Amino acid sequence: MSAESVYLYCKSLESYKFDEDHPFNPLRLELTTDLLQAYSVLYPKEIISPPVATVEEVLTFHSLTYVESVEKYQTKSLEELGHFGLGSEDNPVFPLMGEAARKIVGGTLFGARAIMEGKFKHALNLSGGLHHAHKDKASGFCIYNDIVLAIRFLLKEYKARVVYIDTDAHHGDGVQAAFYNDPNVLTISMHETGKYLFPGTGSVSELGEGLGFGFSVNVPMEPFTQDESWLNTFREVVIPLTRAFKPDIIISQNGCDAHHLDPLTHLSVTMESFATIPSLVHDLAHELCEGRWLALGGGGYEPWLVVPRAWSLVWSKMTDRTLDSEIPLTWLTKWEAKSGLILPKTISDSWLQVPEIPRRREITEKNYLAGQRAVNSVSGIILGNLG
Amino acid sequence: MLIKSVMKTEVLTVSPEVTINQAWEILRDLEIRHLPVVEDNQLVGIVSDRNLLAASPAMSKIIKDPALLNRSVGEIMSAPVITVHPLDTIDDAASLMYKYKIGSLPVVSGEGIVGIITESDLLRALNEMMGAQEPGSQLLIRMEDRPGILAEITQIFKRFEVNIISVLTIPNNVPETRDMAFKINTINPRKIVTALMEAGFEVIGPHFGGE
Repeated sequence: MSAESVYLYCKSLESYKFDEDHPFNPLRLELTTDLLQAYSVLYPKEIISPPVATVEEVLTFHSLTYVESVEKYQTKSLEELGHFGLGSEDNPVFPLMGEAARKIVGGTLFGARAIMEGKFKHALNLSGGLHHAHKDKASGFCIYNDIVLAIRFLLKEYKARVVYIDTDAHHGDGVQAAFYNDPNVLTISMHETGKYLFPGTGSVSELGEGLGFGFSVNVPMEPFTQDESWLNTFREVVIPLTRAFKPDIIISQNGCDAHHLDPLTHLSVTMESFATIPSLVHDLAHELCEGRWLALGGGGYEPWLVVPRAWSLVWSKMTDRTLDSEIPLTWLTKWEAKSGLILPKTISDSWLQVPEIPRRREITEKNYLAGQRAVNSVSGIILGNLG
Repeated sequence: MLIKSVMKTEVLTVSPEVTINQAWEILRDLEIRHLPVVEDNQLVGIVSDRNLLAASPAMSKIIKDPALLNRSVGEIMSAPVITVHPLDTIDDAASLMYKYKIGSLPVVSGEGIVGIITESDLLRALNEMMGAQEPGSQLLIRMEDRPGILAEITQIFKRFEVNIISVLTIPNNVPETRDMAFKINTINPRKIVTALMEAGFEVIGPHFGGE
């Protein structure tokens, strides 16, 4: 009899920290874990501190020269590091960064293995979801790509068919690129259009190549997209394509930087989406693959006002444990002074005024058409592949 | 960018005696749309899917008389052919294709045909020039149209040690200004946007008002 869910966390995961002012703030892990405990929906026996991944495990995707540059950055010149995307404002080097990055990979690999061995139905590693890292390049705050490493493990050890669902505001370029030729991995990314936003890729026309043609799906969403259009796209694209593919396991990247208050992006999504999407993924996992669902974190650069609530909702939906609408007072008292902000009093965004966008109708239409184009381009191929 | 770095160098040519039917088969099998026609090593014409379509009778007639497709491409090809040289620029190729509404240009040098450049080669080059394959954020900046202005902007990029992936000039209707799109190698352009605005530049995209 397998337990339902495991929460992969340990304070040491917060050592993945570039510098004090860096937008990628690992404190969000502690804030989320603490909020879940204040809500009494996360029990000590459900928390597992994952092992650090080995260098060998990391080398199942990343190149040797790149891994050496990460692990021994002190011995490399700035120019050499720059070649690997390291030492920039986005990805500065920091002490023991190799180990810190491998710890995150360890969590995601542990989750994938434990689910396949039947120890748990679902696993949540909020430190993971580093979807921008490439084979030999750090990119967009991501050093090692825990997602690609876990999917490679699933392909090799279990010959699993994997659906990867990425609802981060940024395109999941590293994961897409790694499986661009592979029909056993269906990657679906909905994200703010690359017109302005990093990394700039992720257009509908990126559909995969060779045998993998039809197994990369992208829906670029207009800036200022709100919940209704965001969720409609999820329902009209992600759900039918996941069903058509019939996965053995679902991996979701739950970056929450599509939120209206996120400082790095231009979307206008709220907690309504962050509550609904994990709930829909949970249902899909039970409907299609006996509950096998590995959920990860990702982007989210408003660590006080957005991330703890958004990510608490992932665990809440994973475990079917409802969160009271009021944020626990113990949590607010503990963190408000440290934040220097007035923290939200409710788990929902009922207090948040998202300004009415004059172009809303046009934005909705554009998103709808992008979603339709994506589905029409691949659904025949995905269904055909089942023979 | 020179045509020689963008063109395809493997070019399939046909002689004028080849039939319409055979030309159709070649286009279909190789998934191409243009066939240069060569006689005695000289380029004498070009035949495209549009030439073939215009010269192919209706299906009902073909069924009655298949010989209708046995006319030679020499009879229906476009001639003389507009060509370019490997050292011409892709700008030249683009304006010729646009002006004459054609989809490809044979590349001719010295002895004869050395390559072909098509619409899709130009689009691929445009894609590469815009840096579409490299990760980065895009900024659209409106600036005064005067000498030295670009140096002032790139100084700001340098201050933040951020690499520029691509630069494009975009025409606008505002007198004495220019719009330029920069793709820069960072996920977090906020500090740069602030510095640009402090230096008096108008960052017009991404725009934050949603209008």
